[in-house]
Amino acid sequence: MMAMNETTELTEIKAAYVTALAEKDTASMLSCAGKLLSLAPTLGTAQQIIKTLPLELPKRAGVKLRVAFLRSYTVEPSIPLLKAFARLYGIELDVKVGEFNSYAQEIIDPSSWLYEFDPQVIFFAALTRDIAPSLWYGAVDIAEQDVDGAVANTASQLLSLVDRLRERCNATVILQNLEQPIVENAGLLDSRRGVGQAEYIRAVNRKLSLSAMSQDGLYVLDYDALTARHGRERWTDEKKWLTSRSPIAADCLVFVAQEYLRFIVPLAGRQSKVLAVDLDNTLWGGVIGEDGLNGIKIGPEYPGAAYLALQRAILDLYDRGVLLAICSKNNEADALEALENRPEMLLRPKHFAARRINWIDKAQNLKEIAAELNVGIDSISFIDDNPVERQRVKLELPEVTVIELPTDPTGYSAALRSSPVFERLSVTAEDRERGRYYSEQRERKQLESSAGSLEDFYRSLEMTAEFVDVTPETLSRIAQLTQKTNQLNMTTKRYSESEVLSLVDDPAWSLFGIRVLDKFGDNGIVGVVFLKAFGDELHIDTFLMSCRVIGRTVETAMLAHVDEIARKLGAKKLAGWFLPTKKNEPAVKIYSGHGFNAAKEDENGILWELDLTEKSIVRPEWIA
Amino acid sequence: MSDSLNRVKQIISTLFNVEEETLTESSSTATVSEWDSMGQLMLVLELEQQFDISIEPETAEKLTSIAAIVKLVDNPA
Repeated sequence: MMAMNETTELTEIKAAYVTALAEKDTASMLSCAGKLLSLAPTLGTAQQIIKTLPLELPKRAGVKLRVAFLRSYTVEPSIPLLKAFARLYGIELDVKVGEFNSYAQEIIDPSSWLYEFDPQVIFFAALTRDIAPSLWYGAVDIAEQDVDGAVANTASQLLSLVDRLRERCNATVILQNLEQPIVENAGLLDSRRGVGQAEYIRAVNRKLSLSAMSQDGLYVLDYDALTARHGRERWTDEKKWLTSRSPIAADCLVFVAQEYLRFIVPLAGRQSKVLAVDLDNTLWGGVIGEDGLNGIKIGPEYPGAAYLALQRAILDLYDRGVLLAICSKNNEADALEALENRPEMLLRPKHFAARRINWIDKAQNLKEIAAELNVGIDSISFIDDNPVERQRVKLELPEVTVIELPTDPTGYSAALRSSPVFERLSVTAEDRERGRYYSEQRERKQLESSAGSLEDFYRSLEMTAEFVDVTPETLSRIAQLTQKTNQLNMTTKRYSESEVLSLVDDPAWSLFGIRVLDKFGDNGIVGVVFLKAFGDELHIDTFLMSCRVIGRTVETAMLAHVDEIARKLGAKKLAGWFLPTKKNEPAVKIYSGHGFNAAKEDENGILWELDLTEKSIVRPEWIA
Repeated sequence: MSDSLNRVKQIISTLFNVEEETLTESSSTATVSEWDSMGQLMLVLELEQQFDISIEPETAEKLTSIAAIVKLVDNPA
């Protein structure tokens, strides 16, 4: 709780923010804004950040999202906080909020503001007492045999509205589940009945989760778990509920905003692909160079247990598909010996896709890690116990997400786990296997240096390409590639899973992905193309490829497939925009390199065209 | 000028998008256009957090001018 007078630390950071603002020092502003929001997460702080913090950084373009709230209660106080947090991640939110308890009309009426606004994300925020008043205000006592029907009824009231909503628009829908009361209305008797209030609410929530699991683009926000996490007593402000329909206590608003943010960050494509970790006093206690192999602290006993808990959290991220890298000031041999030979370690050298263990500046090392792993610098997160190193990285590379750690190591794992940049709304098979791909790629690179001509090298890879349609199995990967691919991406258009599905249904569109196998293994789906027919012209709306297969003529195979589709459709011309961004320089020559001519140029980019009556693109002979 | 007055002006200025210099003790719901009923709720939440106090609904209704807010935060009941 904040005292009557501001702490000196807060006053100093506020002053530093104002100075940075005057000097237009974006890196310092961003760093101060993060601290202000963690020290004083109030509406005033939020408003100041929204008004003044720039959206863009030198190597990070801004992302804009339209977000709608359908609600039964006052959600407004948490929105400035949500906008301010989003701003830290380079996301600008355009938020519109529906009328109180009017969600049904707003969904059903095709001319409502909701469809006019055309949101990309919809939060459906209604309280148990509004969705199911009898469940909230009365004592619940339902006979065992009637429970299934009753639960299905309650859940379907909500789910049928969601169905209607999803028929009408392509937005990703985040549905809040039902929160439990502080105390059950029947008191202790609640658990002595057929099925009481608590159990009934759990059953309805289970139904909501099951339904969301089977639908792309529908997710449940576990509002019940959120209130429980912070304590329902503390969460609730009965006075504000009764006077302003605002049920959440002032100091809990920040938690609601952060929960929304966990969805917003991945939906805006702002998640981190790589976590770079420090070693000494981060992955283990002590300094390996001084304390030696047996002197460092790691293991089931405190204080080693705190570091083990962090390793466990990092391993969980690895399983989610986050790549790991080491960025440590150490002698490499000492550090590797610890990772290999201390039996208590959960993390081993094989878990790390890149390593920079040396005495060079960490900002420089992080840049090299980004280059080695073929990701943008803004796709990297960094964790280090040393606040000086963190500050240095923040100022030198403001695009990197620096995870703030508390001074006490027992809080490390929670700090890492709570960061929204590692949230994934779905995990594809490719994500799970990503760490392995990178070690295979290292072998490929070795082969490249030993091969003779480039063509010999391509042949030696024994590549096979397979073109795949959008199916339930491929949908999430295809949508994910549009959201995450920055470099080899001609138009950088982002599509959610629901948006991709709506294109599949449209006969003017042809969509495909490419899956590439080679002698080292299966690369999974690594490229995506969306085409739209306009008369005798086939327009390339989206053409992108993962950096994992860069420099292997996979793009030629993809364009050859486009050529084939175009001829089948009777098209005479291919046309595609190249829209330059801060990141897609590697894609600039793809069209010109395949015989396209520049037809038009404006402030957004260049339109490239290929006359199919004169030219054609053929698949390279080395890709089967 | 009291420290509380400055802080309250700052809060009103950031919450309701008005220049701090134009605010006086007599600035109120009548003179600040974004200070509406939703604004009043935001203001109360902000005061509760910034000054670590709890504001009764009856008191909240009367916080319609800077002078009234300063009086409250200087003498929280």
